[in-house]
Amino acid sequence: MTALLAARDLRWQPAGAKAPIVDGVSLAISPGEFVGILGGSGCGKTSLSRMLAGLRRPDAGTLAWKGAAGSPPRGAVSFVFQDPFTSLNPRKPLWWSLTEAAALAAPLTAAARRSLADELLVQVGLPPDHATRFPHQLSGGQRQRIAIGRALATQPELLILDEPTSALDLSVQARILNLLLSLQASRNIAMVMVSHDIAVIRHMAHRVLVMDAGRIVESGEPTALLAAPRSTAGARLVANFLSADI
Amino acid sequence: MLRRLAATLVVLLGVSVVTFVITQLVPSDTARLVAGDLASEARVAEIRQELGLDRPLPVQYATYMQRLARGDLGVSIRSGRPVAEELAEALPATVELALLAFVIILINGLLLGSLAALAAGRWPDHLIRLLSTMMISAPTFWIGLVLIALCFGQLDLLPAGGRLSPELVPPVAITGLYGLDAMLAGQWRLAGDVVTHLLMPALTLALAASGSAARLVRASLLEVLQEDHVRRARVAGLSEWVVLTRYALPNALVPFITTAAILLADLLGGAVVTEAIFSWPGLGSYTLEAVAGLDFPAIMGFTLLAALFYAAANLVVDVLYGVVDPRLGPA
Repeated sequence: MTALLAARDLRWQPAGAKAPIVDGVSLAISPGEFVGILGGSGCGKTSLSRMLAGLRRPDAGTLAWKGAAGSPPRGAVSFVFQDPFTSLNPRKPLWWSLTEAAALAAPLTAAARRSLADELLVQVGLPPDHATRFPHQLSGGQRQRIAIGRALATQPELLILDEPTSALDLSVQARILNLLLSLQASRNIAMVMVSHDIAVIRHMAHRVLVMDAGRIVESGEPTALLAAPRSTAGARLVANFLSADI
Repeated sequence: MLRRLAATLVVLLGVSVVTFVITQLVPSDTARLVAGDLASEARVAEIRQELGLDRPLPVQYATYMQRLARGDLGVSIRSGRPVAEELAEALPATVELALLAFVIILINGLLLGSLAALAAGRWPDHLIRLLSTMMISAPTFWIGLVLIALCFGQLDLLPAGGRLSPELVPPVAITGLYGLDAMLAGQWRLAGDVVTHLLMPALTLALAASGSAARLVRASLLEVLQEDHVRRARVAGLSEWVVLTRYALPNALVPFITTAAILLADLLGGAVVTEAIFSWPGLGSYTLEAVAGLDFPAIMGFTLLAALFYAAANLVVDVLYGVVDPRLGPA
């Protein structure tokens, strides 16, 4: 099966850094697949996710979308940021933020935007009357729901999530994760979720990639991989997880 | 809003008390100043009684405030004319100068600050930061004198002082702002002459503040440009211009609004040095003369007017916050 998004030898080293942040990463994501990227702080997982979403240009390496070289078409990939407090424009009402990407992709009338916003709000479990509110009037969990709704506006085939629940408390985390699972099941969207939380990735992903020092050091089915990690980084993550769990 | 207005009144009342007390602490005799050096002691005592200066300080203050409530700022010791009338005459010249200076500051601040932020870490940024530091560091009187030496002395491009060339008659007063009044009357040559007279003092006033404004816009913009919603707009394929003007700049303007409003109040409060250098007949020159002549009613009147500008600026800032950023609007 042709990969939805394939990356080959991606590399990025910011000016002044002693070593690459992302160092020759290759991966492929299949349609409808849920891929988790695990790793400790500074391992390059966020940088990699941003390159996959086109938010950061790699120094070297290539992307291919459905077998064709080049970046995905506009709207095909959406990104959900880690921090729901800075990912929404604070000066704009939620209907505007929700439908901004869709309006950029194709001209929409004001009425169509409002209608789309209502639809997206319902999809992410919020009442349509939230459309006229501003981000500061919502809780962190509600904002993240809006960010997810916004990401869905262009009907993407791939959703990349950068630690979407790390800024939220546990009960809200669970609701957001369940929302993502139900969206994936209903829309068959491929998802890539970056996290340092093994429990979240084990619960959500079909496949997990472990990153260390800018490289993918291990990959596999989450339960099997996390039960018997082969890499030092994987073993370290599991050990930290178990010690925290105790 | 009512609470803010009440707070403004309290501030103005405080300013009036402080200014009144300070003017009383200055070792001079107002009655003697009014009577003149040659007047007899009896005449001075008579004037002291007429002006109520022989009464206790709280009574004098209460009397002053009663008059103030009616818009009466007292009579100038130097001219014998009502202070309110004199201030009203000097105000338009200062407003005209302040507004042009303010526009120059806004353009410079937004343009240079945005350019520096967009080119952060590269040569345009370094150059703009160097220029800003130079603008901030240069004393106003020095900038004024250099401009006069260059634009008037060397190049003979602009007049060195005054509001209008001596051979021209001021336009019919509608707003009191010569430039605007001339334009309203369709007197374009006169308007041009007004602008040439305005340019140097306005630039002198604007340069130092432009440096601060550019630095503030740069810092604020750099912060906003790192926010995820702005990154997202960039990735969506929007041009840098659209990202800057529709996404980043409006979010970066909040701290700038405060500075800009206070700056405008500052400019309206009379640019004493600049007006003195360019013989500009505004509030700054008026106040300088009032201080030199120990004209306490005039000093009091000007101080209250300046305090009113600051209080109004703060009120405007509060209102603008709500417009620019819904997070800061009324709860």
